[in-house]
Amino acid sequence: MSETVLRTRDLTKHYGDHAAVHAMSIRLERGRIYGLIGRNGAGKTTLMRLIAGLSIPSSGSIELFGADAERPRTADLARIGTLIESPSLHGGMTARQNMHLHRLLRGVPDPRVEERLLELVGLAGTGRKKVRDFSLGMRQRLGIALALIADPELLILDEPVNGLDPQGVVEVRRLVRSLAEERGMTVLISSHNLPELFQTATDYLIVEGGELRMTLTLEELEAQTQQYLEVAAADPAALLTALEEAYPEAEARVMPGGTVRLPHHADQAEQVLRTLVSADVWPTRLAREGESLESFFLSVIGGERA
Amino acid sequence: MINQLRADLYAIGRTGPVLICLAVAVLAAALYTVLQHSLAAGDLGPEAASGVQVLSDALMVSLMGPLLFGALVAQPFETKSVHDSLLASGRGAFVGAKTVLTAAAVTALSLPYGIAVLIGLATEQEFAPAIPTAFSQLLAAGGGLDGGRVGEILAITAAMAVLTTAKLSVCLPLAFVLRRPLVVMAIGFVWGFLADLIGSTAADVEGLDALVHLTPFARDHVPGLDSTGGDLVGTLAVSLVFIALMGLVSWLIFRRADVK
Repeated sequence: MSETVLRTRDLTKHYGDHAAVHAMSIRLERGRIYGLIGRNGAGKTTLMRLIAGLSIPSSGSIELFGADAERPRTADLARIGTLIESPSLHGGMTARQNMHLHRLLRGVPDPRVEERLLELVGLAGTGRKKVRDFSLGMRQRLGIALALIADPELLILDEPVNGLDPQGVVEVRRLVRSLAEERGMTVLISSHNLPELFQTATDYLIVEGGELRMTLTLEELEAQTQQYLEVAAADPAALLTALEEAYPEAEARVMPGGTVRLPHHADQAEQVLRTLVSADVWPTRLAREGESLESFFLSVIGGERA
Repeated sequence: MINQLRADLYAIGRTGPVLICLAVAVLAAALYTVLQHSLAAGDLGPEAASGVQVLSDALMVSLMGPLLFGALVAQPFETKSVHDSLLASGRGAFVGAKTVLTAAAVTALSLPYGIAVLIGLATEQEFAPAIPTAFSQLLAAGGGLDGGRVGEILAITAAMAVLTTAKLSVCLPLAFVLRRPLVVMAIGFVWGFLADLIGSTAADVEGLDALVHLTPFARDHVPGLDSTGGDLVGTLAVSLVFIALMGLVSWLIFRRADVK
């Protein structure tokens, strides 16, 4: 059975009359990567702050590593690493000095962790360069290294790829995946970059207006956003037979009304048409269908479809 | 709390404000002592005394003390390093470490003036106080230096330094509320001058005098040449309790406060 790392129950945070987070109940399991998706002001950062003990809930509870409380205990918070909004850096220090400072702060005895993490995020060669002279991407990468310094069991990353170049984005993706797969780290990651999150996360939490609108796994999201060919013919049975013979691996599905959906072949309309015609099956409809990631997201949060 | 202190001390050693303030305090104390000798020797006229006052402990510590509260307490909220501090050791430890650290740093600002008094007295020169602070009066009193005298001056220095820190420790809860170093510094600087005035005014109000006596703002807590050992211990006790009280107030403010 999977181990629950974090569970919130009816978690609510009010700022005056405004509910930044409203009755949010989520559960995060060990070793999975949760993509937190939502528009600006949807409550993503507030949720992360509540989990990290930076904000105090108005009501509800947070169960962290099995300890249920109104807000997380200090001993449990020490098992978390965070990068929320912007990294906490001392501009007048080097990357190594920042690492050393945070290692002291976290009480990590092994100094080798500093160099190892700097190598991991590609900053080992920055030498005596002060952090104030770093690019935005370098700062983000150092922020991720700092979040990892105490070898956290739960890693919270708020927009970690902000300011990163494409190569940096890919590196962060690989890093996050390896942390989850090799170390069993649970990662909660927010991003505006939906395609990027789609390639990184194993599970998704879609929030809007401070409320959790939907939770789904990568497989469920893929199913929701899969592109397919929709084919119809006067003789549905002949159509299905022809498609199954030509594409036995395609998992063709018959829909109500007799149309057939052919996944994995959304961009092969011409080839499918030739196949059907050669089998003497004349399609009455042949169209590429399916929702894009953005369209699906908008449909969940109640915005206009793309 | 130990981890927070170790990290803060490491940061202090590699960033500007605290070391600069300490260096300025050392330079100001040295210069102030030399200029007080110049006043006594007649190298500087009495009209120069107001200019010399600028270098006195009363002004320098009132100026740099709030700056240190801003840099050590409010700055982590701006740099967001408070995030990791809270994850590492919690809010109580954070407030505790900041209380100890700021108290030590602000106290250290006064110590160069005490050392300057010792050095000045060792030269057996004459000194004229530009402003009647405890350190200036010790220096102006003259007299040789023996073991007893050195001990007496060190005790007065310690009591005076902790008393000044206690008066400025109001900046501690202020920093937890405002979280902006410059605002803390500005308000703290004004407070440094108003505190004694408010204290002495309140002490004149019947019924309030006993209460004021329990705070570092009572005039009779200021150590001087005629202070007994009991007076100095009383000053230290009142000051340390008041600093601890400000730490407690800070924790009450911060324990359920949101952090941006």
